[in-house]
Amino acid sequence: MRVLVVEDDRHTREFIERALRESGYTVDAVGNGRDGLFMATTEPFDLIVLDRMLPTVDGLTILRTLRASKISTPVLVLSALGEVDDRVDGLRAGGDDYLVKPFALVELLARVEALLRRPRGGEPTSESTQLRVADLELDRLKRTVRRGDRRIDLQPKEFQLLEYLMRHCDQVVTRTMLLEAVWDYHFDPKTNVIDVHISNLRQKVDKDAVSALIHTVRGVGYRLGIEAD
Amino acid sequence: MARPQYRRSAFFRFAVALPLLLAALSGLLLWPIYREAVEHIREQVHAAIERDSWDLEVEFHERGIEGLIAAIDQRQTRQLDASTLYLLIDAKGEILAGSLERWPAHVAREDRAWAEFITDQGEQAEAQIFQLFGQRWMLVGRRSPLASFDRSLALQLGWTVAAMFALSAFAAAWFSARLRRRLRGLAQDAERIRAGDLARRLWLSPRQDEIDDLAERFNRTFADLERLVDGTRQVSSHLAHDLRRPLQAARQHLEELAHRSSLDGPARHAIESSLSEIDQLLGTFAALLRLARLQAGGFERSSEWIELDRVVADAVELYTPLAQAAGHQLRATLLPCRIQGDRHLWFQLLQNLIENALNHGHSDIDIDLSADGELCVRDHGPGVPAESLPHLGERFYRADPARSTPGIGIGLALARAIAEHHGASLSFENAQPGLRARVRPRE
Repeated sequence: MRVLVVEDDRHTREFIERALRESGYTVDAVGNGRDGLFMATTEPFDLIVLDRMLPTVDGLTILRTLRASKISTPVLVLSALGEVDDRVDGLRAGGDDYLVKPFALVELLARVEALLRRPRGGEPTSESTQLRVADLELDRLKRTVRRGDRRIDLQPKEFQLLEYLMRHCDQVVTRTMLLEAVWDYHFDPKTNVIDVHISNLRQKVDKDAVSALIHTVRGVGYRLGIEAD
Repeated sequence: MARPQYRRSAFFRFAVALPLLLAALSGLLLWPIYREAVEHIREQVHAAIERDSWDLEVEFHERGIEGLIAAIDQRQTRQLDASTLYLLIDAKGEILAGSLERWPAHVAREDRAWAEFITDQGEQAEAQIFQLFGQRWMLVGRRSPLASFDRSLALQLGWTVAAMFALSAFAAAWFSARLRRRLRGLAQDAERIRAGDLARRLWLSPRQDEIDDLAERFNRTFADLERLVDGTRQVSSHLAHDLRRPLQAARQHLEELAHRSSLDGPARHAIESSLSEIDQLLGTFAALLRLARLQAGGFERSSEWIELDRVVADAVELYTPLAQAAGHQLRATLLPCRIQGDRHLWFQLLQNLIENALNHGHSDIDIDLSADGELCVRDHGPGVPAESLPHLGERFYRADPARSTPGIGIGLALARAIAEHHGASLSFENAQPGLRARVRPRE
């Protein structure tokens, strides 16, 4: 997996570069917008991590140019501007995800992984109506959940949480990602508000089961999968 | 309600007092002049009577009583002076000559005495009395012009005073209306400044009069105030902004250390707790910056229509499990309510109010939304001391003097800034028991 990092702050750039390398990605890193645009348009990447404010060519301009040239490489926009309108600008310009600085490394890695694993060429429409992980089944149309023979009744938000976790099966999902995906509000939860939802969900899904499916990843978030860490 | 306010107005009092004062003043000035004029007229009348009586006495001495009667008759038939009055009576009181039909009442028969009396026609008259040889009495008089003078003078004075009163009342009313209008404008400006529009200044007229002078002094004070407030706001946002970078770098180092190394046990635990502390600090800075941006008007007011009840319901849904885990209920009574605004900001406001209620109330929470957009978040906890109520929502203010509860007093300030950004106000009151936060749209 080849990742391009376009970030002008040397410290942050090297930090991202090192972290991605250690996670097993091939990383190219450039420090200004012109080089970034050149690299992105001439070489194939699986993902671009793009700072929004760059010297020479601005991040959003690069993004628009890429999308205009039909290059659909997933782009994760980094920005010090964290307000909703900035986020909307970033996503509207063709960004696939938006991460506000300062960010946690695990947050970045979780989002990079989520973007790379995302099926290319479209979002949920192409997905099947049934999701299945081990003996856990979720029907998106009938809105039913079963674990083996047991039917599980879920609250609407719990259903959405489970759906998101199952779609990102075996990936680490952060609390912020869950909030953005399920609640569709951008804000920073200060309390363990998400944890309680997950804990309720876990009660219902993993109750009486031989093996737990929902795992807590310490200091990061959650992962749904057959194997524990 | 308008009446007492009207009476309270200094300008109303001015409009009444000024003409009264003017009338009193002109009365004071005119009174001696009037006295003088009356005296003068009386002297003139007396002089005329004396001249007349002198002539008649001469006539009497030269030609006897018949000559006097003839002279009186002649004077009356000639009618040279219509105001003359004569009466000549003998010892028995019989009228020998004259225009009066009888001796006027209350006029003593005393030689060379002056008398004032009222004629049968009701006219005021002055006369001198003479005793003539043979117990005859003569009265020589004039109808006094004083009465008609008084009348016409009173009439004229009355009109003048009335005109003056009307004129000055009109002028006072006009001036006071103008002044009131101007002061009302200034008061409105001041009210807007008080409401947080610190960049606003009092309106100055092109006349540069005393009020402008005063307003300009106030404006200078407002400018100082704005600079100071900006200064303190900037200090904290600069601090937040500048400290973010080194903190971020420290965070990165720590995170790399935790990510890479095979540290275990206490060392790893220490790194993780440091990270979470740094995250808290960064979160606070982010909130401070957001607050500063809201207060500086850095957000465009969203014109998007949102269903506020939906946003509230989402927030309630998000926080219900947390409240339940602590053994409390989150009860919501929501009426449909559409407003223009930013749903993310409203969600943040709700989050801050609910978290505040959860952290400080430790009780069930009632959330009400009325159809006109009034939102109440009420807990059933201990509430706060009454003197703290007005300070809730101020930046860095904390009602808890011991500061034993977590937080730095930014959540409610942010909530207030969000409410104000949407043209609403946030106030707090004790609900006995508990604290009620009320978000109310203005107008």
